[in-house]
Order: sequence, then structure tokens, then C-alpha cells
Amino acid sequence: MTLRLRTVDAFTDRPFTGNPAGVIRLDDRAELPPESWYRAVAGELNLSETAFLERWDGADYRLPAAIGHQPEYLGVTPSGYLLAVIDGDSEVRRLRPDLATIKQQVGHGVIVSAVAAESSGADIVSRFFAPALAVPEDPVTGAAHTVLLPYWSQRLGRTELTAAQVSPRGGRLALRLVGDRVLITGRAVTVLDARLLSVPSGRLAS
Amino acid sequence: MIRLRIVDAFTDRAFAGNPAAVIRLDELAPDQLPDEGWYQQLAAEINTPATGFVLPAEDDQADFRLRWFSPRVELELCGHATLASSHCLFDDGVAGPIRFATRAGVFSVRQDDSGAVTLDLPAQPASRIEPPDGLSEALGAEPVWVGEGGGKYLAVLADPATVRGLEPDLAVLAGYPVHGVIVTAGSDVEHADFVSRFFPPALGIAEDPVTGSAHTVLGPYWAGRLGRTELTGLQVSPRTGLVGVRLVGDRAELTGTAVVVLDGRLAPAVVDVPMPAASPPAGTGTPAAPIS
Repeated sequence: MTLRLRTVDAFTDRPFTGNPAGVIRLDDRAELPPESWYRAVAGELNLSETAFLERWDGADYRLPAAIGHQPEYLGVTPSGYLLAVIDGDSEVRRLRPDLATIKQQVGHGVIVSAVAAESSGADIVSRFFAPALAVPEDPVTGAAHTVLLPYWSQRLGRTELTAAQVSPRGGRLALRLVGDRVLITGRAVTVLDARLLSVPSGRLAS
Repeated sequence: MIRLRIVDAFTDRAFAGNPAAVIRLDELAPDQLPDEGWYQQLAAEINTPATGFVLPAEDDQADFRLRWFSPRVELELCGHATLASSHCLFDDGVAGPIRFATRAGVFSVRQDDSGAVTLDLPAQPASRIEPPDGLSEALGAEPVWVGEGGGKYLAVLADPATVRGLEPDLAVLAGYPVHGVIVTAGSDVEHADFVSRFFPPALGIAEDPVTGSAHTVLGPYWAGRLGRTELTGLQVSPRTGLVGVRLVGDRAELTGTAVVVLDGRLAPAVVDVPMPAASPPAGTGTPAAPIS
């Protein structure tokens, strides 16, 4: 009894970039594995998780020291994520934030963003640091763009934007604001196609 | 098509022990081997604590060449990825003993009838040192003995329960001029002679689940204390693992079992990835670090 597992790099068309995710289809199973199994598999594969953000509002004063820049705009979500907008595409790319300070003092995570350089082919750039979730930097984060788009859409006066997340791996997202929804379009490339050999016996009717 | 397996080493149970990815490239001709940067990129993508690449031998001193990569750097010595790679080769019908040419020299690996694999490594006895500043505070416990061997500190505690419950201050441990700190005590279970944990925060890892190289340091210490040359170590990390140690002269033979958790193939797009010339992968050019 085995299960198919695929590793897919999301928000990219090139392997070893984008954000890797393990995909296991369990939708054709009559019986699902116990809760502990999901955590064991996720721990074994050691892939980064995506943080979920909600509506943003408010401000925070501890951030400038942690990221080494005075943000021109600062927002905070109800769940404690911060959006810091700074001046300069290359400043975002070169950022080396103080992750210990972010982890201890600045809530769950920080999105840092700026207007993209013209040569980049994107409208905005960003990076996402979530050390409190054991993710020092998430390579490409769909959820962060549900926070980024409403902000940039208002500021740039457009409902469609192209975003580049400029982490070391890098990735691209096309964003469209439709009412209170954010439509995210991206590519993905399969990296690994494998059989998971450790499935609790008798727990999964095929 | 390139096969990739993920193997849990030093355990007989999936999701325990120390995971390593294993990729056999030994049947490729030299001109078919990937570009140098590909190994590190793949290890970063798979993101297991180590990935072992089995390559064709370059001369008749060895049967295979073996390289180990963490997600960030190439490693000097990695016991658990060697156990995982050997387990796969024995599964594939390769006859033992197998001689691997590695950055740590040539060493041999054999399999017994039960399937357990034995690695023959140099023993690395620890010499007693004055406890480094702040060690007791960082561990939250007073060691009864502190030594240094194999580039690691060895801190012996009086009580195994303290070792199990340890939550050390990793920022302090990362500041010491060693690869990591081994913490050990006598055993509180029947199937082991001592318990241990290994913290190498300087290598970017808070705690290593099961560490072969730490047992080349632990073996000589406990052999001296217990007056025996054959011992079993239980590494009491959250994942846990069992390492058999047998001291033969200046060698430490480490024995363990392994479990294949995942077996698959790399997608064709991955095998021929164009190397971005402008941005070498993280870890290239940084000094190699020894770990498990």
C-alpha cells in the first residue's frame, strides 16, 4: 500500500525556484489517515508552509530597527502580520532583517514591499519573513499577496498587477482584484514524482 | 530518469531516525554527470538534513564515490546519509562490503544478515577541557565532565531525564568554536547503554535527530567509563534513533538500520536545469562542515 507524492515548485516555470510543496491526493480514499500522520509526513518532507493572512489595519513601531529601514507605510493584520512598504526595489532585494527581533517582538511575520524597478518586468516586489512559524523566509507566498494587492491597487490605481517575490529562490504572481476577492495566477513545475511507502496499514482503503 | 529515495537512518520505524535523500548517479558516464552547482541546488530543493549522491568511483581504491550535501553546504562527513545510501545500494543488490571514496577518505560499509548496516569510521575520543564560559547556563544543567573531540564539545550530565528535557540556549552554543555540542548521560532504558542529543546551531541546525559522527566521540567515552567495547546509544531527540558502537583499535564501527519512506523519480525538467550564471546557489564556495 503506497501513496503517490509529487513535489511541485509553485509560482515559477523553472525547477529549483518558486515555492516547493508536497502534493498527496487522498480524495479517492474511503478512509483518511489519523491526524498525527499528516504532521509526520509534513515533518519528514520538511517543506515550507504558507502563512495565512487576513485583513490589515493599524501600525507598529518596533519594525524599523528589525529591517533597517524606516517604512513609508506600515500596516498590521488582526492576526499579527506586518506589511512594511519601503522605497526601492534593490533595498527589498538586499534586505537582511534581524530575524531574532522579528521573532521575539514583531508578531508572526513581516511582508516587505516596494515598487518594482522598471527593468524587472513586474509592478511590485516583496519578500516575506516568518521566523515565528519556523520559516525564516518564505520563497514565494500566495497569501502575502492577498495583503499586498489591496494596498498596491489603491496606491497605483490599478486592479491588475504583476508581482515578483524577490527571495533567493524567486517567483512571480499575476494578481487581479475583483470586488473583495484577490485572484492569483501562477505557473508551477513538477520536480519529483514518487511513492510514499509509509502509510498506516489498514487505515486507507484504496 | 533519476531515482530519488528518502530514507530514515538509524531507526526501524518511518518518521523516526534521521532522514536522508539518496540519489544514484553511479551508472552515468562521466560526461553525463550533472554540473557542479546542481548537487547543491537539488539538496536545497529536497531539504532533508542531508542528501547523499552515489557517483562512479574514480579509481580502484573504492567501489563508489559518495558526496553529502546539507540544504546549504557540502558536508565533510555524514554518517546517516552514508547509512541511507548503503541501505539503498544493498536493496538494489550490490554485494558488500562497499568501499566509498569521500571527502573524509575511503571507508567501508557492510550489511549483516538482519539487514543492519555497519560503517567503519575513525574513533574520535574527547579530551577533557575546562568547561567553556556559559556552558552550564546555556544548557540549564551542570555537566559532571566536559571534553572536546572531533570538533565537538561533549558535555556529560548526571541524569538522563535532564538530557531528554534539555532546552539549551542555542545562541550561546552557536558562539563556541566547535561544530556543535553533544550532551549525554547514562541510559534510563534497557535497550541502550547511554542517551545523547546533539545541537549544532553553528551549522544552521538547532538539533540533529540522530548523529553518526557524534557516536564516534560518545563511543570511546562510554567504553572507558563502562569498561566495554560494544555499546548501544539512544539519541533522544524528538525523532529518536539507535546507534550501535563497537570500538576496534582506533576505529569506531557504527551499526544501524534504515527504512525507505519515499521512492520516486526526478521530473525530466529537473535533470537538465540551466544554471543561472548570475546567482550561484547558496552554499557554493562556503567551507564544508562536518555533521552527523
